[in-house]
Amino acid sequence: MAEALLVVEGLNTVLNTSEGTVRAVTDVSVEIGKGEIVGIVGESGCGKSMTVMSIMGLVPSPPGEVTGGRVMFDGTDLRTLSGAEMQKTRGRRIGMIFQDPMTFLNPVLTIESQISEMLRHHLNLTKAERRERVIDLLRRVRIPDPARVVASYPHQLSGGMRQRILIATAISCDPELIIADEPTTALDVTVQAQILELLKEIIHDMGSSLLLITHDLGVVAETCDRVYVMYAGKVVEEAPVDELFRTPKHPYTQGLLASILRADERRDELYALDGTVPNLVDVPVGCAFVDRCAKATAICETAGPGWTRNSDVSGVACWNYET
Amino acid sequence: MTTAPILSVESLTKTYRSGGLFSTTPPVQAVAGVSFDIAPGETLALVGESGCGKSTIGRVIMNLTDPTSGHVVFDGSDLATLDAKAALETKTHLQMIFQDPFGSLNPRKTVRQILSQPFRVAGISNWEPRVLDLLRVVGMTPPERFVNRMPHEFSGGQRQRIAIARAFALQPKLIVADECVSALDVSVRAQILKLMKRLQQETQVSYLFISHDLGVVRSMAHRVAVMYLGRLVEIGPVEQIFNAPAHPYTQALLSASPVPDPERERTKRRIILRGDIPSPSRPPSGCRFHTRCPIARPLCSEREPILEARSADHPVACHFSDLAKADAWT
Repeated sequence: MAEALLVVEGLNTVLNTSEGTVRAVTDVSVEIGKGEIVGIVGESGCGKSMTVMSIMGLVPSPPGEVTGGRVMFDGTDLRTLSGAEMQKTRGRRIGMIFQDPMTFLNPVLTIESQISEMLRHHLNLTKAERRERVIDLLRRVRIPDPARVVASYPHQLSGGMRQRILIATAISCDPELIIADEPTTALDVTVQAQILELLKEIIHDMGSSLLLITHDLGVVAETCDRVYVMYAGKVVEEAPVDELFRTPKHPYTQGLLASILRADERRDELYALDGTVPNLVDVPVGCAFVDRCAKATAICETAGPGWTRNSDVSGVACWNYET
Repeated sequence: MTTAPILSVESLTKTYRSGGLFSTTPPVQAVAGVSFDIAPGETLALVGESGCGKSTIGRVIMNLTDPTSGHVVFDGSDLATLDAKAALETKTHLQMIFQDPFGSLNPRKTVRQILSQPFRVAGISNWEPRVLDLLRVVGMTPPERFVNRMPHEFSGGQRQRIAIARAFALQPKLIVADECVSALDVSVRAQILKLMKRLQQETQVSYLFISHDLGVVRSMAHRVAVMYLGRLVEIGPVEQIFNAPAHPYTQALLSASPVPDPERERTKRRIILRGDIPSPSRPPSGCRFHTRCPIARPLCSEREPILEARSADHPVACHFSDLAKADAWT
């Protein structure tokens, strides 16, 4: 693995709700090297978005609370930073891209003022320099006719264009890390292909790293170098992308891959993982996947599996995984 | 097709006018002259991206909106010309499953009330055992545990099972399923699709399977119809559409669908289309796809191609489909 840029260790986040304490993120450790594209993949409620919010110091409190762990970014623990220091890091050194551009973009501001705001906040530039930079950014995200688009409002642009604006904003201060949470989920597939291609190119050109959060294993296969699979608030498997898809080790990863229907092969018999995700208020004492697992044995009921590291870059949390 | 189709859609057009009397906004032609048939026991997938008109077709078939022109013939009769009583009788065999199981089940009713409604409307009195049967059929056992509960007590997947149970209450012949698994997670999605396949084998129901997910379509459909901006651009047997797509849009769509296989993702030929989908209120002249088409020629902006048979069961609407590489995405 390349030199580490972000090292998350033993992250724990809970949500205090009227029904009890939801263990949204439990002992999550994630590492991203310089220049790497790393994916966190999992289904609804697995804790992937809460992990990102915890990293960025954006967990709404109450009801949320980060109860433990370290978030080492380029040698500094982000959790020890003050609110003001964290604000300087977000946007400047870590850029963010969200699923829905419309909730991120201010509907009454022009594209120029939205991106300029980021530049004004973080960089010491004159008005003319900012304007020039905004137009250059739009060019970098392949927006046709940038001089016209800077004066337009979000509603005048298509979904794909809006997502490009978000990318332009995220890269505006040349961040070392970009975190993208489901960046293409709301887009049509031909537009998704454009945006993923663009993201990969921009990351490589800037020499930055990308943390990509997604539920779509197809997007992971197309984009990522390494992957973490999450289930019920925990990382259950970590592997380089080829290894994960060729020889998945955790029974959940195996089940997930087997249940995906692919556009390049027809299946007459469908496979489905039975059962549902456990409630994170009453987390089972043993392995959270035990009820749905074909390989479960007695120990899985009584004790959570530890982390077995198979190499520098791969590991699995399962008592009975196949080597 | 040797047997009579269960559904025939003939030259269907649906235009939405927006704004008031003096509005200058051009009308939106959501569906433009679309025709297809569905045979008994067959699944026809209707695929395409946002704004291509696939959902509008589903709504017209379900009589949720009137067509601007054209006909929908279900089980031998044109629903628009039937009297109210005959229409009600016919429509019991035509059901729909929606994308959002949160919106399609009444939150104030119990599962018993939701599932008994079709029987009560049809005048069937001894419905209790049939309601319990339906729950068993969709895998919610023992049914007594679920029948008194309300929709909010269930997960998305369970709610979709209830919606399917309701659709199957009165021996449907055709079910319109509009993005019925799009809101579900991968593992739950597989459970629901498996259930739908099993029910089709048991009852010979036909599905109009509206979806943007080509992975799901390949394993669910017998035939596939591809739409772009209100027009049918290609229709044919599923393996022909996927192995030998003839329309450049179909090829681009397939090439853009990510498959869960990193090696393949690195080696496959990618067709990245230029630009976004144009607005359906101002469709491009000639072939509606010409503004984004990688093989467009001057003729394409002048004359609209008609849907022509390439082989007997695989018509394509493209002037130059001979030039489009069928293996482009493999």
